Amino acid sequence: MTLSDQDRTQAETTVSPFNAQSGLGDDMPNVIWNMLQELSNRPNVPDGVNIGKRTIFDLCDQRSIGPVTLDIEHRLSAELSDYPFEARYEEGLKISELGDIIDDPGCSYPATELAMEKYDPDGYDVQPSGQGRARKLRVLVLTVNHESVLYYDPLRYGKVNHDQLSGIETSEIDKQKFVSAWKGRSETTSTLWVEETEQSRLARFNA
Amino acid sequence: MSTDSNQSEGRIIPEGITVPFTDDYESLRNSVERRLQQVYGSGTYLSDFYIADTGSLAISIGNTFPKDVSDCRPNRERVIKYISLDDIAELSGERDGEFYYIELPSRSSVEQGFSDAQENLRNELDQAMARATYEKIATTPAVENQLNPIKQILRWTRLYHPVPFSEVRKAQDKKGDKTLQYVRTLEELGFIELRDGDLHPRRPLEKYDLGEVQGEDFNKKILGEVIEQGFDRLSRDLQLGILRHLPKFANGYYVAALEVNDPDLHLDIESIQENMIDWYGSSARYHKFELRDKLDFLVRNDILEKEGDIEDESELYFRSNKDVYEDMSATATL
Repeated sequence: MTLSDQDRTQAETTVSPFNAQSGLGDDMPNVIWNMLQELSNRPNVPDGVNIGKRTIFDLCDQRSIGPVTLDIEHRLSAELSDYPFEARYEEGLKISELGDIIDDPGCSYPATELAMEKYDPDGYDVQPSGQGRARKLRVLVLTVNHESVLYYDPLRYGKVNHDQLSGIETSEIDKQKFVSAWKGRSETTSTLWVEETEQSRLARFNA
Repeated sequence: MSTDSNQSEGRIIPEGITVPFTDDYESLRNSVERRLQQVYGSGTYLSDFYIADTGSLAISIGNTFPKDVSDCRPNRERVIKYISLDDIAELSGERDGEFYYIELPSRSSVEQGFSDAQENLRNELDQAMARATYEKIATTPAVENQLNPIKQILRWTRLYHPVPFSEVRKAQDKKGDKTLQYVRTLEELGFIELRDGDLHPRRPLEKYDLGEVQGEDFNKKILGEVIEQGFDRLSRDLQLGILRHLPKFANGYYVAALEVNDPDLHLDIESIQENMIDWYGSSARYHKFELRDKLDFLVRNDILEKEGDIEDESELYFRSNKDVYEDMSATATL
């Protein structure tokens, strides 16, 4: 089954209000910020779930060396503790499980880490360092189907090339190529998302 | 994700992390690298990893960061290049039963190591640029004017040696101990020697006598050599601003061209300005009129070339001078 026009239109509508990253290495806080902004815009989700750019930069301790991802889900959950949502981080998820998260209305879109050495991006070219190294890139996954993945790639935007900043668009990649970059050299996937707490789901079910 | 507690106040990362013990060197190295990427950013890698017979670990980490090196001409694809900096921090670990315990320096200290390594690379590139262009700039009026006192000391030492330092100071009529500062610099660079109150030429200066290099040619060659040898001291200690600034403007272009390994890279003024701020910080932000003047100076002196519409800056591009690019790529390590 290929992606339908409806899939594409919906993904475009989702990403068009996203904020571009301000520095080329700000992908982690930028993806979390857009993730929470989109979640907070859904019906019945409190606005406060969008905890704001400054708070997100602080909990990532964003610096020139990059963010801290160790325990990020605990720090993010602590920030969301006033609301019936918590952050989840999992290693080793499969692509079908990623699809389940996207389909679950109680979950945000999931952020995944891609290994740049194995990633052939849509819309720009990547050159690893002379030693063959690069940072990992966080993207926000919007749609997964049998053949392709639609996602938001923050590295397509921000800094220089101002003429390319006319609007944020979705990126598309072959599913197998996505999985290869997601697994990376270590053959382990990593995924971060925010979901409704169990108590909240039960309360809603019993209401 | 497993965690180690001990999170001290004000510190977002723990004091240490544990990694399961294994005999397999590669597997251990990979798991240490992966854990450290969670702490110090995903560009982190192990630039050195040593396991002592005692079971101790000695680790050196590097970091890789992205840079936009896109060609500015229309319809060119955006290009992101990653740059690696080795040895920004040292870590150590001890075996504890079935685990290794690795102590974690603070993120701010690792960031400081990252900035220091960037500064070292920047200085190296500035010096490579000075070496690649010294002959071209030595006789430009602006540089020659700033280096005039240096040139006088070299010429008088060459003509009248041994020449009393007091005479040279009197002839230059500089305020304070400026003349002595110039002499000390030239002494340290090995061009002259101040002995018993007299200035004597040393080998680099004497060789011009043998070759009978005269007049303008002497100026060009000797000043070029002084700039090449003494770029650091001249630009910082003696505040010869043009030497300090010139590599900054030139490298606003050349660093990107070298990174992407493309002498035909075309950059516009705006991108060169962005690159300068990336490398040298916000103090490298210039008004576009001044920036354009400086870039035109580089073009006039065959350090850069320009192409496109000189009246319309949106269609004006700068690209490499072939000789400068070749010299830079032979010496700069990117």
